[in-house]
Amino acid sequence: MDCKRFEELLIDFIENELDSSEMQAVKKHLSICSYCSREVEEYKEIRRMLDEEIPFKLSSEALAKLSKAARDEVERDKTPFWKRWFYSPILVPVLSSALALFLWVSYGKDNLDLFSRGKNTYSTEVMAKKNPAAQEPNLPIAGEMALEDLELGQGRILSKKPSPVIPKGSGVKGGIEAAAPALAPSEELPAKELKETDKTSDNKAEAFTGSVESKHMNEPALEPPTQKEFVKREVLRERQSEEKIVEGSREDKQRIKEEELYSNLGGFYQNKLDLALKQQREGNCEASIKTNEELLKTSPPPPNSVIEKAYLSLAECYEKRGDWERAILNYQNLQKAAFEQARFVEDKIEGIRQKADLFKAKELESGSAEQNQKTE
Amino acid sequence: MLRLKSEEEPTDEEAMVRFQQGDAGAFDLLLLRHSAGVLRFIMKMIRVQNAQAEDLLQEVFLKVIEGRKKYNSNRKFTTWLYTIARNHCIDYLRIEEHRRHASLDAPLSDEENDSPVILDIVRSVERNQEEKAIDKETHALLNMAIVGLREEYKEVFLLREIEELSLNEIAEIAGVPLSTVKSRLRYAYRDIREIFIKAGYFDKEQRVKEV
Repeated sequence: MDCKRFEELLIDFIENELDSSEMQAVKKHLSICSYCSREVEEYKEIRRMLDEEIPFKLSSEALAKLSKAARDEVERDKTPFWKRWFYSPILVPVLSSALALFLWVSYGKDNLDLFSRGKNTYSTEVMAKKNPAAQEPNLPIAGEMALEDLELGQGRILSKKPSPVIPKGSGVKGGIEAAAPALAPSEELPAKELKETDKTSDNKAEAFTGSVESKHMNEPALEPPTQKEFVKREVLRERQSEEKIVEGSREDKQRIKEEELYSNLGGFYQNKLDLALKQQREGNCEASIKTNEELLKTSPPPPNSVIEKAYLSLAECYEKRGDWERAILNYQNLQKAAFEQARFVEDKIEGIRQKADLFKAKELESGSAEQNQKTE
Repeated sequence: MLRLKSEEEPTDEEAMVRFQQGDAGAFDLLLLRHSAGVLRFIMKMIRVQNAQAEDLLQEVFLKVIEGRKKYNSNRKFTTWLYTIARNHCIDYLRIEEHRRHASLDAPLSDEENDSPVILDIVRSVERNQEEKAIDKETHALLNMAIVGLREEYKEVFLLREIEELSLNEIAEIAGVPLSTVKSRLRYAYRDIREIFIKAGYFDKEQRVKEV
């Protein structure tokens, strides 16, 4: 064995990993080679020095910190997944946005729709601001109906059969309440039935309103129930709802009242619109316009679906009559009420403008022709 | 450096498995057994100030905590631990490479700014040659010799001679064959010895190889 070979085996020798034959050879070499034996001695010396190496000590703060980190980690592991998730900071934004989305989906469509007319009036605040009559229904009078009629009726009824309950609210309300039992036995009947019983109730009404009500007889048989009837029903409903919500908060009362009011008035709007459309079909533009305008003036305003149709009907009627300006105006109103109809409306308005121009041109021609004739 | 373990004390591997199962006390045991060794390894691998070495050590043990699920109980715990420590040191060195310019005139340890540089040690060793005691200077010389080793030699040398891991473990940690570990260890010894000879700690005479 030479020194080069020994170099290769040095580590194995120090590590004591040589087999017996190799060990013999190495020992033999070391006994004759002072260089290599010295080297081994020196390595052993280095090792001895290293053994005396004082281990570094970690500060107790660092030890405590690491120990705590381990404990925290173990604790975190022990808490179930859902709990860790539950306490995680991400939960708050996620939940709140989910809630907002839910609210928007469930209520937003009706209440937060700021772009369309009519629909937004379902919201309590807007209703309360725009329409104090929501609590004390004081519906605008639909043509033949007058407040005096009601008061007249009320007076008679009151004198005949004074109501034991003194109703709060306006005189109108009180009168109607008193009149209601006599006049509206069909308070629970749906609108269709009411239409059928219309005549009979009209007749009954005539019994005490006499001459004023006689106008009704001249109207077509399919005339919608009068506002009087709606008011009666509504007041009865209101009373019912008042009983229902004694324990409820004021806001609840208000809301329920509004809802009840709307559920009643919905039929009224629809009937009114049907009448207007019927009149339009029959060619009675004048009457149709009148009915539509009454409908649109109604407070609280009718739902958007009704408003759109009323504007369209109005516009068509004016167009038929050749009142271009008002036709355009009503188309524009329709456009405001129903954005999705914008395209259709624009086309219509354009059509009207062309028509109007044509008409004007014709008038001018005929005018000039007349003038020519005169001068001749 | 022999670790004496009483029979009831769990082995490193058992302790680690216990920690995996949620016994934080088992981690404390591992921390007490190995923190000093890992800290020493870090301080010798990288010449950093004490506080900085402690930070690095904490990072290593935090990796142990975070990655405890990854530990395979078939593996020796020290192999796993020192692999983490070694890789952490290498990452640190890569980042700090531009700062670290080991030179002979550089202070031996950063905590003592007035520490002796190599030439002073050589002189002082020469003075105290007869005693051959493991005094402060000798330690400083050894320390400097280790610190001055090439990185590959150094890690092998430290893991074997100071942390007393087996050659097979070191091969696993360094990711090299066993034969490479052996040769690196040999080169490390050779380089250290040369420093000692240069410093006059070992005799200079009769250094002729028989070929």
